[in-house]
Amino acid sequence: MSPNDYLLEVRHVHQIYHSGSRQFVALQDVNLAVREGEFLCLLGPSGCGKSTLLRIITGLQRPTEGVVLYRGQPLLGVNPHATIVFQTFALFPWLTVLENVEVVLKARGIPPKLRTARALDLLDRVGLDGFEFAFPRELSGGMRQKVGFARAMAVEPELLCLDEPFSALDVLSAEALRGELLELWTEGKIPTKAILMVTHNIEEAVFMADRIVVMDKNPGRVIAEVTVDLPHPRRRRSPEFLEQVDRVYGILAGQTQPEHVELGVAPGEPGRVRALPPITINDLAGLLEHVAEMLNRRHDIYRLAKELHVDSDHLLLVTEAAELLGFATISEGDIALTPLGETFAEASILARKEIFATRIRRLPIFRWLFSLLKAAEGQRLNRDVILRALELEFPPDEAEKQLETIINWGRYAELIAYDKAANVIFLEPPGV
Amino acid sequence: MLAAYVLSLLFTLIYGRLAAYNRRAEQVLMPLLDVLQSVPILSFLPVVLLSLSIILPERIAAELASVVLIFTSQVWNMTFAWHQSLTTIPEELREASAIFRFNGWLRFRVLELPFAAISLIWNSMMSWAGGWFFLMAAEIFAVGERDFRLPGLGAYLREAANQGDTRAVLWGIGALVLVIVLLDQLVWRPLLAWADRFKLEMVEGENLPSSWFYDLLRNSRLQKWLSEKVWRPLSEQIDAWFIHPTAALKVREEKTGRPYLLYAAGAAIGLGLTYGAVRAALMLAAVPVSQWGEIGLGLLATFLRVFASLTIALAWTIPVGVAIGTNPRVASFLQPVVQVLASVPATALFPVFLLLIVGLPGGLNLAAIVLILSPGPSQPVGEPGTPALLPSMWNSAAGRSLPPALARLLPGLPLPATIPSSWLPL
Repeated sequence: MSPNDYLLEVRHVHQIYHSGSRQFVALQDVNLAVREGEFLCLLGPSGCGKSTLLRIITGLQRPTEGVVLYRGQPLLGVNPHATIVFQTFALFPWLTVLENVEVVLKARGIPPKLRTARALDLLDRVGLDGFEFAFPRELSGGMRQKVGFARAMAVEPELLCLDEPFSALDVLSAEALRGELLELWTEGKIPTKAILMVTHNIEEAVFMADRIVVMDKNPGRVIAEVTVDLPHPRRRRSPEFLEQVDRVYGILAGQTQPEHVELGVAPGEPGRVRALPPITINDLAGLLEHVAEMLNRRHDIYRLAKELHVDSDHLLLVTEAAELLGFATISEGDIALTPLGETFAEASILARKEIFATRIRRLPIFRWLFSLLKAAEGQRLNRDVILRALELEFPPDEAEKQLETIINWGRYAELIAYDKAANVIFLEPPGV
Repeated sequence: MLAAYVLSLLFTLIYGRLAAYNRRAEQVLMPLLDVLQSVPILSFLPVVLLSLSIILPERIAAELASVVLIFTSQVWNMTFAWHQSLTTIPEELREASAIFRFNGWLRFRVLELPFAAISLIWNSMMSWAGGWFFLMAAEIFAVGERDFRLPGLGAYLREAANQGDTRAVLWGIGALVLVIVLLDQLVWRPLLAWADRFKLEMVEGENLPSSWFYDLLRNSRLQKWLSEKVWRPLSEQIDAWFIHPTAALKVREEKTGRPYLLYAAGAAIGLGLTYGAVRAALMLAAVPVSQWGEIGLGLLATFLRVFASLTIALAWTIPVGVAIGTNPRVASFLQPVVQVLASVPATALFPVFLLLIVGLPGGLNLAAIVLILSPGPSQPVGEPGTPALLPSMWNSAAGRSLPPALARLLPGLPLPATIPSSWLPL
């Protein structure tokens, strides 16, 4: 297909944030294209920049570098042919359901009678007939999102964008809405030419999309594109479906690298500083215990999501932690416990702490922290000092999260203590 | 009063919008607002009056000057509140407005104004209360040898006080109270009841503001007819003027030019302020050194008086405020009372107090403290620490949706703000 057939093209887009003297890369060299008739999904963990990318694509944000082409023309402002369904609905609380849908038609200059007729028709199509004069605060989450859908579709956009539209809903409403959206799309009931959905839920992406663009974080970038050519309606239990899910998990979970690569470097040194996955030891222990019961101490990661009732996003963070600490290896979508991991899973509480302590001493970020504390007076440091040092490596919110994780893990391992009232972190027991 | 209010509203909307949406403008305009807010009102007076009377006949100049004076007492807190509203609009609503291509007018009408409605109404109420306070000062003023007097309640009260005619003073106060109560019942309460729909919260509140007048209006046929035949078509027409059908589909380029006009205006103001500062410095330099000592003592005395009155004010308003805030029935009874009290101008009461208190030991000093006490804080500066309004703010913070009020209530008292304003009666 020649480039002229692309509805949307993203070329060499970079998004860089400056914080103080550092710069952080939110998106690195993103290239993608959307064709007419496609349902494309942007899939990735939290913090990989997919929402930012969506805003760049729709023109709400300007990229630091790179260009977005819509029908071959560079985008100079907000894209008039795209609309967004927001994660938190973004309805105007002081307008009724009907007014919320009508107002976007008013913005297009459509006369009153036609406006009302179209709005009513759309509300009917999404199944909100009878709720026209209700206010958003009277509706449940699922219904509010339906209004969001009606509103986004009212202006008959060519490109319908969805920013994690089902994350804020309960499981049943989400499921119902997914089905309804797919029905409207596959049966051609809406004049939209392409749909672009951002999500962190792997099953959802495989369920709905024709093509999945997989992204990773640190820095935000595209790591793979997966085509899903299963026919609709898709059965979640069918082997083909599960195979696709497995494949995507494999891509996102990656492959365990040799240790020195996995561990990364300490803050301040040249090279990549490995960010700690923000999980609790309970989560980790739960995962390891579960996998320890499996045949050969190995299991498909995608199955773990269902069995442990966790979000794919969260699960991947826990597996990453297991990998980092040397308790498991990951390859091709499977997780396998190392002998150390088995020992940990079967150990007593105290023994676990000891094993854990040994492992985190090998992490560069902890080595760095311990050396700082040892060199400090009284082997104690103000929390803010450490935070500031971390802010040289990570963006401010990330630095805060990292410090929290460090404190949690350090406390569990009984290697450091944190006095919240005095805002001080110190080594424990002294002289370790 | 009304004219001043309308002027204030217009100024607020324009100034605040400018400051909120243009980063460079904000850096100039907000500090400027802060400075203007702290300038005692009566110092604007001579300048305004004299400059107006040059161009216009005396009568009109005086009226206009009065309006401007009241304007300066009303506008600052409203502008701050509006600016604060604009900068705290949730990101998702802003993005929704952008992606659906709302033009400036529609965004103003559908997003910004409703979001700020509750805050603007409360601040308007406070502004009016402050306006009443300055009514008397605004309607009689002597500048140099000229004596301006305008027909109005303020002038009446001042004259009556000067002549020691207590009955006249009481009649005057009575009339004032009546106006305030009427305004409260027929305008503010209904507005608040109507504005409840602009809450951002997604849950139904428990203590909804109610107003008998509002209910009356809602159910009246006249209102319904007006709404259908007049209001709706009118607003449609206005919207249609501002929105062009094809504009929404054109891709709009973002302007990144430099605001030269703004730079020029800023420079002009800067020059004006520098000139004023130089003149002031020269004037101060002319004061002999011995006088500085007296001035210092005077300042200290003033400070102590203000401090004493603030302490007393806090001592009674915080418990009362808490009591009111936690007991809705007490609140609904006391709130109108408090508001009326807040509006009664101290300058009307001063002669009365003076007569009573000057006999007691402490004399003039005590009278001064009492004077500061009663309305001192009623100079509305948009911050909810004002003791007389503390109960109402507490109530609203406890029961409703005024996040700015809540956030600023605890950290506290507008000490810097009330001190300059309290200097005024002195």
